[in-house]
Amino acid sequence: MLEVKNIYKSYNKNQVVKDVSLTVMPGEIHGLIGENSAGKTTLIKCVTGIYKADKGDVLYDEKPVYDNPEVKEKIGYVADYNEYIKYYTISQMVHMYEKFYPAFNKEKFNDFNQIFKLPVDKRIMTLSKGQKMRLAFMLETAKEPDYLILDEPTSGLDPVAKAKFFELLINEVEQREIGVLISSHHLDGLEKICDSVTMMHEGVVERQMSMEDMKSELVKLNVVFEGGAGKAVYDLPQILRISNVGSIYTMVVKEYDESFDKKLRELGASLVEPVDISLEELFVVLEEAKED
Amino acid sequence: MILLDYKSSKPIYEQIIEQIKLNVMKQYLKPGDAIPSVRKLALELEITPGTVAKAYQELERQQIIETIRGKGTFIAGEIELKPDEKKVLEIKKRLQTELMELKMMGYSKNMVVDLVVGIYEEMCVC
Repeated sequence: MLEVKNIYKSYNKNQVVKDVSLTVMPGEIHGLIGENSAGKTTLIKCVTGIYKADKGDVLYDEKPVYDNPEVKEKIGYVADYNEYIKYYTISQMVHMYEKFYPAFNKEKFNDFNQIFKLPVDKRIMTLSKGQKMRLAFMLETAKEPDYLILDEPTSGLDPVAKAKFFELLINEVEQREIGVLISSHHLDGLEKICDSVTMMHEGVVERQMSMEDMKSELVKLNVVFEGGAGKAVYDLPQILRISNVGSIYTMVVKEYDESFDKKLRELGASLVEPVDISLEELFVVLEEAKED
Repeated sequence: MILLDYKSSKPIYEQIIEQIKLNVMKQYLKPGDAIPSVRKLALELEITPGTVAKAYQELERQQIIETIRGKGTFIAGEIELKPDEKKVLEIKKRLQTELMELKMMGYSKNMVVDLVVGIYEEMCVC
């Protein structure tokens, strides 16, 4: 189990991460979401042991991660920006990984490259952003870690590479039962792979729950008001967003229950139908609701 | 294998259960056939793995599928068909409402029987 316990981190006087806790179990994919500068990357750098947290613990099976090379070997890390020795070719880099990590599985790297097709004789400095991201993922996964920490791994990937990346990732999770912590702004991607999710805002955890529960935080409804919806409908405090096409109103609602359903019908709704809401829309509506 | 109706008010996990059962009834899926893992199906259908897991748990409870650790998920070897009394009662209630509507439209007993037999025959190869 990878445990983050009450982590604090500041730069100068700027508190970037405040009292953040989370756990990642083997075989679990945990998503980390939040707007830009919410503190995700700083948190990840504390989890991987690159930064020393000001306060709190990061534990791998109850052993501290920071300054612990033995444990760090078992944690793969793909950064948002991956720098390797520029003048090395990919093959030379692979060779270096083999020397550094006894568990490095070169066959797996080669299998991955059957799919990702990176030019192994090229120098790293000539690779594009997406190619460097793929290289980092391949290297870090081939070292067969118990946990993989991925910071925006899909940025710079084209749609085909993104689909393949998700496939390879879930194969690792299913076959080797690795635990994954992944941050991304591509919420549609996270939605279909994550078991649980942490939402950060200004350095603190705002929500932390299973993806299923997160998805039921808000409900999207199609509601028909044959004579049009009156002001009383618009004034309902549970409605966070409402729009209409003719007499069909689409609304995103918090704290949806039977009494709300009844209320809508009292106000003239002839049909109330819940429909699926995407994580992306849910996130946007929650952010907007905060601003109001 | 599974087509979801995202606009339907029927919960996604129920749609998964229903469609796997239908595929089994039509014998498109036979005992021992491998079905996608929770994560693969979630990726394919673009839904949360938790939702697929919920459907699979229910299908496992009903002994329609079985998961063998390290091997995958399969249609169960022998599917035992035993009616759940409570469920049958629920269905009876639903049928009552639906039949009432048919009757209001002038459906005779025979017409209703033909309709039901038609649906039943469409569903399975029996």
